[in-house]
Amino acid sequence: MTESSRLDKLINRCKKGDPEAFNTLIECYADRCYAYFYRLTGRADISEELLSDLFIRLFRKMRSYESGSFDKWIFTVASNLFRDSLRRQYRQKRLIEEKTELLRQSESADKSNPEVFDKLQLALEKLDTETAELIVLRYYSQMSFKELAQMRQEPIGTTLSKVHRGIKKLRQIMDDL
Amino acid sequence: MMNNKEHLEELLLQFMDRKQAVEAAREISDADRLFDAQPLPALSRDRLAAVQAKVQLAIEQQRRRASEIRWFSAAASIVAAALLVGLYVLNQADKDIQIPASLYYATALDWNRMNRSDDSALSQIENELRDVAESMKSLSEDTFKPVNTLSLDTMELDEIESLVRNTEFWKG
Repeated sequence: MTESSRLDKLINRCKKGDPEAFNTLIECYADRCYAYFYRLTGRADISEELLSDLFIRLFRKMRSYESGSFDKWIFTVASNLFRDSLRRQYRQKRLIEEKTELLRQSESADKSNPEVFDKLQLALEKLDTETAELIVLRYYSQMSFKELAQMRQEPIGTTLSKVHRGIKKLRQIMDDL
Repeated sequence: MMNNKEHLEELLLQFMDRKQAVEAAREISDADRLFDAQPLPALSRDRLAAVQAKVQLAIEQQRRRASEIRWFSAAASIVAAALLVGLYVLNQADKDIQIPASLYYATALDWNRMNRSDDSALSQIENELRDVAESMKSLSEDTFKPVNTLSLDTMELDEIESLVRNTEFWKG
């Protein structure tokens, strides 16, 4: 049985409301989705909360998934969830304040310890949210540029250009750190 | 981790010249390697189990709520249906009580027929009713005699007072 047909079978079981199948689906996608949220928020607790919300939302929307790339579908839901969470003004404020605090703490931390100091994370936090999300989404969702452009409802050239510019900026920030 | 099937250079060539496309493709691939080189610690088993438990709980609650809504809707539908049936039955019953016009006329015809045939019986009943009415009238006129109760009471009191005055029974 191929990976794709195994996933299709799992999705069908999830659609029928099989809790065991849904647990397996969570195990399959949890790491990537958690990393996606973590790279965007820089917080383990918020990432876990978003991860739970994501799978609850997926369960509700499961029947609306018909065909096509399941990865694209799941990360579209994840992206919408992240944006929704940002839209909530009070949370956004808290996140910015806590991010600033985290940044301050990280900068004063021992830079030789790789567990405490993650240059990539710091650089991502210094990027604007849209660019950071695009770069992180591309990496963790494994979506092609074509799929990314479709998801964002923009021409593929625009997506390519945004990613390329974003990566250049990320490099520059990392060099300055 | 990155595993895009598309050929990045070919894609980029659609928007820029070859030199730029090669450069951009290299930069994008470098960024992927950068992410690969700094992986995040995976979600621990405990945390994953906590997330799964939270999701399962939410799913269960959602299912229960959906079930409650279904039951409530079903109950509401049954009540509505029962009301409709009740109203329909009542409406039908009202219609049943209404005497058909033909029956009504038939009864009227019977009365006419009876009037014509039993005139003597009817006049007898009329006479009896008149007698009863008369006797009731006379009875009420005989018994109704207005009495001045106030003057009677005053009179009784005067008599008692004079009796008390004359006998002076308290003196022994």
